[in-house]
Amino acid sequence: MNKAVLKYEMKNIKGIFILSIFGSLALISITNMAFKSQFQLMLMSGIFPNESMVMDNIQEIGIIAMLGFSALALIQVFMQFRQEKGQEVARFLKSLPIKSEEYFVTKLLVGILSLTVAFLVFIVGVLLVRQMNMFWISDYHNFSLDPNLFKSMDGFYNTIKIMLLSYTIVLVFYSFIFMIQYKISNIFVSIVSSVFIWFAPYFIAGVMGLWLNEIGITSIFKELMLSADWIRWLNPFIYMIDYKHISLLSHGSSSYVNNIGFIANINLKFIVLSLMLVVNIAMAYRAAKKNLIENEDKMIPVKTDRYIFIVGVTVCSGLLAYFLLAEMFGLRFAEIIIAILPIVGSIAGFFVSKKVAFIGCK
Amino acid sequence: MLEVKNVSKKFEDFTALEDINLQLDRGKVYGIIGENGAGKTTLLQMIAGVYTVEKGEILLDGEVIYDNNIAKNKIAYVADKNQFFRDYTCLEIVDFYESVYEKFSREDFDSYNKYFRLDLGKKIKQLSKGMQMRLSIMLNISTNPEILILDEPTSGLDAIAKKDLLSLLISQVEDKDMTIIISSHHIMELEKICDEVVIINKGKIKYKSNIIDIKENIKKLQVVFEENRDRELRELRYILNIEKIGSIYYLVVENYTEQIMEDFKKLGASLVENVGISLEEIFIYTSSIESRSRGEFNE
Repeated sequence: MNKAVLKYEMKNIKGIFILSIFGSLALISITNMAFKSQFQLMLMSGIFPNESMVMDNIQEIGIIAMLGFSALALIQVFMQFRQEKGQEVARFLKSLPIKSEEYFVTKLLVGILSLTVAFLVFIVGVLLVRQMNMFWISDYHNFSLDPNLFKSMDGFYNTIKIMLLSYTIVLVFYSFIFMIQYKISNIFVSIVSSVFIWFAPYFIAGVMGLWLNEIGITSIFKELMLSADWIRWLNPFIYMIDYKHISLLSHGSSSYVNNIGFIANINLKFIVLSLMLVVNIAMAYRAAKKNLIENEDKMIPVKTDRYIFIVGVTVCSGLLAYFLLAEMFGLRFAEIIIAILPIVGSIAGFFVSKKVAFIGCK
Repeated sequence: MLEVKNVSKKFEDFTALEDINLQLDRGKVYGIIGENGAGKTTLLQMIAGVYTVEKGEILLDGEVIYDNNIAKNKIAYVADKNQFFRDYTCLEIVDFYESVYEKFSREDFDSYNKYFRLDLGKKIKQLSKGMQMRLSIMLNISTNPEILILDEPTSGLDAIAKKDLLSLLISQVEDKDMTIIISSHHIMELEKICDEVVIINKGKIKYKSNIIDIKENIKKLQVVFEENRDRELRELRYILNIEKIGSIYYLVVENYTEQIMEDFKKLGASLVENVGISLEEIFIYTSSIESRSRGEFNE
């Protein structure tokens, strides 16, 4: 790894790294406050058995961390690429005796390291907060229907798993926007597009199902769209709120069922996320290696990517027109209008995306 | 030795360079002259390894330059616009160069700064265009390259800095056996320091020779005819330009031989005299011939 490039990359993200550390400290403080308020609630209102105290907090904090660090990842990518997206700096860098792969590896590693260190601070802090509160939580568990189950639910291993899931999702998100930087030349367009593309598969599948249902098309495709089971796999952000529930039947004078939620298929999610990470990095590496200064004026340098962009925007804008008017604002339309809405949206999306995709091409 | 073999470069439908062949030896100064958009910067950037070479090849000591760290370590490129990293101070960029280039010498840099007098504590974004150019020149010469490429290096420099730069370049060639490729619109400056000149027109090499040979080939003659010879002169293909003041014709001719003098005498010339021609005039007449017909009168 070239020392000069390493220094340059570290200088680029110095500010955002410090911000990430402050973010971690803020999250630790939020976790601490959440445990404190639970403790105070227990003192004031007594004990409600069958609660997984740690998981209740950690799962929520994990979601906040995922969203917060994802926003920081966006800013980090902007800071990492803003200089070399400029024509002169790009040419200057290209003229130096440093290969594109060296830049790529250094940039990616520095980016991952920055997020990892910030996350590590957060994880260690959360574990400490948990540990500090375990004295009363353990007692609390002893009053539960199944103390061992609650102890294992709120255990160290599960806490780490939730934190790591949040971290892995952020890492996949980061690698994704990082990869898009090599696919779209303009920094603002690439960052905005990467966020939209990130949500696009989930949006397409979800809204397509609603639309087909609305216009009364019965087909295998519609059935497929409406079976929500597979749709939740399309966006990693959903992974943090996709729970499985354990039902416990409480005995006593008034028996009731208590549902305890825990993130579903967590191991499988780790596998899927790891695959996404590998694919994103491999695609980014390939694009970085093939990146040419000659293409700096083209918004989307690779022809195939241009067509993927056009198709994606066309489909999404069609569905967005339907989603906004019929679902979000709840306007009532005749069935024929409902059927036509996405077509009108698609036409508009097609022309706009074509214009954007071919910027810089003759 | 740097070899440019059958190199062509296209940007979509636009042909920037067409079948360029050059062989540049060590320890010489080469000037690249051409109109705006002639392809000078494209050629320099291809040599510097910024652009890919899709057709033909560019070799330094037998090695391809593009994406080759070993070859690029022997080349330094001073671009016409030097942005570097705007948030860096001059000292930070010196550190950067020191880490990137194997043969970078901080002592050399400090000694050059005695000429160019830059405040090294300043951020690059605080420097004027001319100051940035000074910085880029100092940094790149300090890498002790075999090939130093300079694209419009005198733009933005004041007269003193310009003079210092030119003498610095000459000393580098003498002391370090450096090859310098320099493009400039200030042809008079190039004439002072270049051993050889390459004139590029619309992506093609028009002339490539040392300045003495070019001047042997293209001459400006003062000719006095007893009678009007406009029609006959227009038909002579070796005449690049005709200027007429009264009965005196100023003729710029290419492929000059004694036969040309004989031709004029046969047409009734009472006086044929070589008045001398500058490199700038050669450039103007050879470039403009593409955009107008040969032998067109300038009265």
